[in-house]
Amino acid sequence: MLSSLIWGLEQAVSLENIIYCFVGVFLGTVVGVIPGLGPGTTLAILLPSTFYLPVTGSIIMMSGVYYGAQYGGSTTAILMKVAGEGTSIPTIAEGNILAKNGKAGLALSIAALSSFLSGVIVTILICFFITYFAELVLKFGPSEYVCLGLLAIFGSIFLSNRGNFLQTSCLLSIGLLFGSVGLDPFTGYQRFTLGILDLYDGVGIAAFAIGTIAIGEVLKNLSLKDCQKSIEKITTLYPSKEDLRRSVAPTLRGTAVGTVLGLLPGGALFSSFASFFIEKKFSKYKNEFGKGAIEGVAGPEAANNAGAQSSFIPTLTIGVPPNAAMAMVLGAMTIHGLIPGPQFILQSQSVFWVLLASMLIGNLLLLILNLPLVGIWTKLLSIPKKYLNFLILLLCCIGVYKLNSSVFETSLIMFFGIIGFIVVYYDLDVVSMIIGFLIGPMIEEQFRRAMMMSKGSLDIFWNSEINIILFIVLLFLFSSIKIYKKWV
Amino acid sequence: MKISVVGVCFLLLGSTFFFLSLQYPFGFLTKIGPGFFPSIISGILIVLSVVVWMADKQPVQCIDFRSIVVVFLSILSFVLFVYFFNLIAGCLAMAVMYFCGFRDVK
Repeated sequence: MLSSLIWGLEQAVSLENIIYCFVGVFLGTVVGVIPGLGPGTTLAILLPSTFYLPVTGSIIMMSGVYYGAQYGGSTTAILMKVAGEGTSIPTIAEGNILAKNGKAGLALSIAALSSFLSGVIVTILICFFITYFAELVLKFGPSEYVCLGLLAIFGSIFLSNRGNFLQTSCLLSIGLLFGSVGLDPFTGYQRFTLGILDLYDGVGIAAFAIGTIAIGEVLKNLSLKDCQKSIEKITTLYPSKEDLRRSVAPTLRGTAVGTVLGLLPGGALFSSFASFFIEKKFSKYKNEFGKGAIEGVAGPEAANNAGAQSSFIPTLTIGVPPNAAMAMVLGAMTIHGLIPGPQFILQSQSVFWVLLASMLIGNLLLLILNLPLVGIWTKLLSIPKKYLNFLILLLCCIGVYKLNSSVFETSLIMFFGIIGFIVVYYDLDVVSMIIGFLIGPMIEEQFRRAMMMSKGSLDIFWNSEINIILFIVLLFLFSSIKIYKKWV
Repeated sequence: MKISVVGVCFLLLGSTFFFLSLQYPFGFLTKIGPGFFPSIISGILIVLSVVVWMADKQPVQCIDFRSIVVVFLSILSFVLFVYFFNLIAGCLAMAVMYFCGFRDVK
């Protein structure tokens, strides 16, 4: 495994891959800083362009955007009390107080260092455990895949950051239904195609994701009023030995929490909140919370970066994306004909190990990008929304059109834009719709296969040890959310 | 009783999918047909959307309706110009529509 990682590192340090990695983490930092332009939206916009890039380069770039956004989000959270990224919300609490106390530089450097450390730890953990994980997933049959899909569905309902089970379930169902459009893989029936030739292959992931996520975000950005936020001044960027010592334990705890929760649907967002409350309850310095505790920055920042990176495990080994950004990475892989699953690591070793090695390089690039250039990132917030949104809109339309040169597919983004707009208007969770859209076809196919194997008997779902474990995980997830909500 | 727009939209989508899926064979558990999965999911969506309708969730965002019209007209002009002319014409048409719509916005 170590030799594979070293081989991956050798490939990742090639000029071409470093450029893709740099572009990814740079874009990630930019979108992390700008509120309303999350990694999910950016990856949706980038998705069609990946068709023209080499497979490894495009996945390295998309991954860079995703974890880069986790870094970028902390800058505005600390300096301006603005959450560029949902995962940065817990950092605002203590980070902004520290900044107001004249310790902005300290908070920024600890945020960057703890993110870097957790990123490196998780990459090494992925390196050592992913083959075991893939071996375990090799034992999965159709019934296990169905249960896993159900776990992802219920997980995204329970962990929905909007907390509304009913509406999240509706959006999931809508995603599942749009995922079923096209030719039925078993019988060749045309489902919901309305006789339109362009729909025979189903609704394209690019049109669906861009319409629901990006257009919805553009409408939201245009409608929200600009508010000038004051920016705290940055003092020295070097933390003292005492600050570093105090940050080690929260970083490690945050990394552990983020790694575990990142595996679950919606868990990456949940992880920074969980880490913040763990620090607030159990830290040796819990009395300092509310007055500017460095633990309240180190823990959540480590957790959100760890969560972002560990969410690659379910995406690559099972093909179940835990969030919208990972769903877009999955989309890019399918555009290139790569099928995520246990075989992915064996069959696409070159892509996998280079991606893993690029994460190490990406984390290092982010550390360099984030600390010295922090002043530039905050200036991004002064770009008028009108121009930024036009650029997004233009990239969306060109991207979808160029993918298949299909005017019909481009016009579909208007239809999905309406759905995206309703979702934004009512502050619902669009991520669940994307998850439903992507894993719906997998669940249906595996369920039909399982029923054929068992000759129509549902016992196949109870006779597997893996399924029982998955049900226990689901129950644990449900009960832990209840406990967490009471606790908070 | 106030009507929850989001509930009505979900119900409309669910009903459309449900009635369309009735045209496809449902099958049996041993040989599941193409209509099985969509009709069950759309049935669930109909039930859930009725509950959402009753729950009457109100919008939380204050959205400027001009933005929606301008954005959709911009996309529409892009699509039409690409269809009848070419990509560059589509981009230009989109820019004209967008900036005319938001000319008084800073």
